[in-house]
Amino acid sequence: MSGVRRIVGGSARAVAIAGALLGAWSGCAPERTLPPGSLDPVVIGLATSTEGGLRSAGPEWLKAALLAVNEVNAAGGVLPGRLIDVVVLDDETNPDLAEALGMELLDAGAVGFVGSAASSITLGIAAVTTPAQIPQISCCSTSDNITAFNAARPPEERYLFRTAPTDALQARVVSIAAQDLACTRPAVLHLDDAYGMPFGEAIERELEADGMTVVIRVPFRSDQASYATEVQQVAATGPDCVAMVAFEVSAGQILRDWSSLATPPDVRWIGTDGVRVPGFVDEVGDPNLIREFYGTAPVTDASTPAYNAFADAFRTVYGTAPIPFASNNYDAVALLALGIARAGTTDGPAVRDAILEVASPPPETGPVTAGRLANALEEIRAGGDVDYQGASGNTDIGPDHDVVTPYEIWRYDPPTSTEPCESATQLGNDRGSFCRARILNSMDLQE
Amino acid sequence: MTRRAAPLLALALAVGCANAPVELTLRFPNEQAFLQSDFGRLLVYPVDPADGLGACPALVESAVSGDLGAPRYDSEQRPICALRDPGITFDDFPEGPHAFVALAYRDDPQATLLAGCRVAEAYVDAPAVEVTMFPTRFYADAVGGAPSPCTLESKCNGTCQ
Repeated sequence: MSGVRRIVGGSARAVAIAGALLGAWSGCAPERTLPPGSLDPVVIGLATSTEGGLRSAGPEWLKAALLAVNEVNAAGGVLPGRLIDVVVLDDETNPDLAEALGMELLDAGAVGFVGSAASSITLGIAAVTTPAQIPQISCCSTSDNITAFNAARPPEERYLFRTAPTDALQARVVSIAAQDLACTRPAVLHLDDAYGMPFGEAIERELEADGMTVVIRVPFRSDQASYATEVQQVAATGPDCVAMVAFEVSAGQILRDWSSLATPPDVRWIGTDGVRVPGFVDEVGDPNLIREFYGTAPVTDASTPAYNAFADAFRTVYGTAPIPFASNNYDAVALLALGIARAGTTDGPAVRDAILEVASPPPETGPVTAGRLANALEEIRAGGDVDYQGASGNTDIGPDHDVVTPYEIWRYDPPTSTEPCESATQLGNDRGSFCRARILNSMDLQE
Repeated sequence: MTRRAAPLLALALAVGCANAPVELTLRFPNEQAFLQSDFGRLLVYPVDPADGLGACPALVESAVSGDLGAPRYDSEQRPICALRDPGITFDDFPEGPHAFVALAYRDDPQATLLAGCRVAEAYVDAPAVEVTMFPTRFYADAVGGAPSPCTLESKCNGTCQ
């Protein structure tokens, strides 16, 4: 055997005390040889939402981020000998907290930030992090306003990234879903924030461009106790479909208020990525209220080796399957970590440039995938560039720091549904499933 | 302290300069990952302070692939229960940074379930070295999703079959 042995309790103390005594007596006990700070952790910020509209999804997304952190730390850390240390910020899905959270990040000495999920909060924090040259990567913010935020700055001043595609593309998918459902007189009901406003307006444009008559577009505030006024407004116009941009809490309330109308019009509902989460079904309460509810979302769980590696690790560590966009949050941490590793420093501009390098081809040493971050770090330490293939799909970052991925049109099936489905995401706890009804290649959508 | 420490102190005095003890703790992903593992192995590699602090990714990748290189210390295969809290103490450790590699596996050492690495150095009053273990690419296939029938207690007192 080697010089390794297990010592418990008093024996361990005895050895430690003996060692200390000996060192003091002989003057030749081992001393630090590395300069102070050589092995200090690198601090990054992670967002979660334990309150408000994203309260059920937020903790699940945080798990995915921590999975990537632990994978990097199990490979010895993000920089030579330096682990990642995290500061977790709870945004409570409340844009009013954004600026304060940004300041907390600076105070904590964070060199990068992964978050937030809600676009309005992401932009509020970016108003602090971008001037401070701190790279920020959102998993789930899909607002077109994020593209605009970057486009308004020269490339060297862009520090905001995301691993989810812009809603400008998803609005197109909503219109295709509306055509699939034979809608002719759709209404649009949407959040009035940085996520919902541009998304709702884009959906209206796409529906009109495809020959439908949008009977009304109604913005609403998040987390109202009641949406009776809004749903009455919509119902009064006699729509045959309603496209809704909302998160799970407000969407659940809207559906309950709709069902409470004296004579609710018979409409087809089309939701978006914000409600493709198990919490939506919980908020609605009665699954039959959303039977045949359709929606759109970026595909974040394609059956690629990268996604499967991520999902296997997620299930191993947490015992459950990852929810939509969890893979995007894993990718956000992976990109930030690999960017820091590639830069070889925590200097913001260098990390920002390195994120672009590791996210996009061409690589000098071949692609590396999610679930193989030790391999990616090894390649980077050997001096090579890498092309990171994300769990969520393509993480190639374009000029305005946008990514492009495929979309799906999904359908909610209650537990009693007998509707056939080739690819269903079971929600567990007798909540039914989300069925993938159709996949659209996003490159086709851009044409 | 005195009864246990005295012989150690006498021994150290007899051989001259002291080495520092290093306490090592393994951080498993969760209890189930620990229960799925039967054996563990610890390897310690000296690293060059100038350019070796980033050695971990290569060491982990090599070790998971079965290439253990030339470690300064090798615990050899030992029951996983011998490696849990309160961890391991290396009581004879030289100066300078080292890479601490930890592996966990079932009866087939070629299929590592968990792996982790950390660079640290030993010195008087140094903090314990905590190594984060992460599932390898072999974990899902090797375990197959079936939970272990053991508890921590039954696994480590030998009553779990």
